[in-house]
Amino acid sequence: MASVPSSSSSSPSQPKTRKKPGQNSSPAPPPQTKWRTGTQERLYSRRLVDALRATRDRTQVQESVGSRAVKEAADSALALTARGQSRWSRAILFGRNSCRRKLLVKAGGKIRRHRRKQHGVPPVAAEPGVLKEQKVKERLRKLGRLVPGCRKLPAATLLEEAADYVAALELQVRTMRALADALSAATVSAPEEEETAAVDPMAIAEQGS
Amino acid sequence: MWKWSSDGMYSSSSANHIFCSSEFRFHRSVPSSHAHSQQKHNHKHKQVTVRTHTLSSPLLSSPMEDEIQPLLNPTTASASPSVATSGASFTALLGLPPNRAVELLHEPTFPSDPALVDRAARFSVFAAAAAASSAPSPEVSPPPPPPETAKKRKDGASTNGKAKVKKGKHAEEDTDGENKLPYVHVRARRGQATDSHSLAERARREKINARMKLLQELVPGCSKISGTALVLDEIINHVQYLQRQVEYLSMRLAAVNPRIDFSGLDTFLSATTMECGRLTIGNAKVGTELDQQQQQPVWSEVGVSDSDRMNSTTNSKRLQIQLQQNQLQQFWHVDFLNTQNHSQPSVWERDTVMGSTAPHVQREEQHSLVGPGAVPLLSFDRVNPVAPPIQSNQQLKMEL
Repeated sequence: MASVPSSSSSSPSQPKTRKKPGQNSSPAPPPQTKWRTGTQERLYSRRLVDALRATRDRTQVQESVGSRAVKEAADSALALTARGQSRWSRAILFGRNSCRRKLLVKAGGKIRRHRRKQHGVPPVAAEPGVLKEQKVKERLRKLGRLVPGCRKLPAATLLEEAADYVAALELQVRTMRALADALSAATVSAPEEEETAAVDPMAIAEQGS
Repeated sequence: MWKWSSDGMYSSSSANHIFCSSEFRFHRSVPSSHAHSQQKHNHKHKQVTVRTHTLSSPLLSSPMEDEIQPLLNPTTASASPSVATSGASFTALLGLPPNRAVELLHEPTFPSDPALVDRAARFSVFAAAAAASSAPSPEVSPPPPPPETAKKRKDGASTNGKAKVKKGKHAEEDTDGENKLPYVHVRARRGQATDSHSLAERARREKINARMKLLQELVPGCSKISGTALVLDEIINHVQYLQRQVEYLSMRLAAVNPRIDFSGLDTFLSATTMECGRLTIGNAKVGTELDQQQQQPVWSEVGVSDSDRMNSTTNSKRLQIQLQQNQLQQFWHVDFLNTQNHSQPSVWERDTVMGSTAPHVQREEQHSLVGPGAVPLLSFDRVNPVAPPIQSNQQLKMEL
């Protein structure tokens, strides 16, 4: 994966996140700095491990392989790490708690089971200027569908949420990959070779760090 | 000053007093914009606040002028026309004949992107100006959500990004030509409509553009692409790619899951730093010397139930230590997971701590754990679902 060309972007983008002189009540730091810090990684990794453990316990009884459960647990862990400051994190957390149907019903709306595309058909544009606008709108809507909980957001908020979500996803992928690699390395190596296998990753890690 | 002009709209207490001091009829707009979020009310109040600026500009209180003066001097010294125009201050314009001022104001050499001009202008001014306001200005000028303040700044940015220039325009269409008044109106660039609607739209567009920029930086390879639709395409692809990665990795983890020793993992995590880029078991071992001796029993248990029972004593020692270490990490279970009382096929179970801190979690292990370090975590199996805390350990030991 294109690992994060901007992974070290925390320093250049830090000037952007300087505290405002108190005028804005919530100066959200740009997602690069917020999600790239090492503390977030640690936090998330810990939460992920806990989630995995719990998932394992749960799925022992329920189903054999809970890859979906693992994914959900990982997403929930990610959302929790976000502390509910972003819409998508809230949507993830609350979406799990109470079934989405209930929420929809409470809102008084109809539950649309199948997303009909009747409005999705791109109408013919009058002139090229409008066409471009429609393309952009289409894509914005698609983005809204991708980011959890951001279906009907205005463009500005949607873009903001998307930025946060992308940064969070990158953190998640990074963490999960490291975890999976470490775990598979640990479990693949037989117990006797345990020590030798340990030495190599250690050396590698030291070189890498 | 830049600061007050932008802040005034966005609920800066420091700027408010300036507005209050100057005579203007719309002072109610300022506290309202102060109270509410910018997004909701900016649109409505934009025009109003614009007017406030207009009115207050001739009544510059002396502190304003003091701030403005130092800005004037360095900026007027600059050579380039754009900078000169941008640096052209309030008083400088006043000194010019009106037509000249108009020309200056409507310098057509600006780049088309208002946001860029905005930023460039602000930066240039603030770099040049050593005014007192420059200290807070770096904080103000590149705010993470420039759109917040860009709404007003966009007016300023078009010709004079500088604070000194009062962004102001009458709501009624004094178009570009009207500049004879002593106010300096920062307004639309040449050829742009100046009515309130287009202003609002421009503000909104700038906000969106700023956010798009942020996204572009986040997504690799998007900086080169020009055009909103294509950039959005890239972003969508990237998000889908990341989500697919997550699914794939979760599948991998699910495959690996049944054979993990989580308690050991916790120790590893706390000892290692994931920033190394690689979480390795070996790293953690360096951190906790104890584990090294006991690794074999730890890993031998992986997936195997029977052999572990032999190692109960050594493991119990290790687990006690881990138990203490892991206590900190268990709150999360309480928040979030409702684990049920599942029994573990794998014998060697791990976090005792979970039990101690999560009263409502009904796992069997927790019943077996009373004190943090007192009782080593022991394996439990389906046979003894709920047992009195200490007795369960002994029972299991006896079974072994």
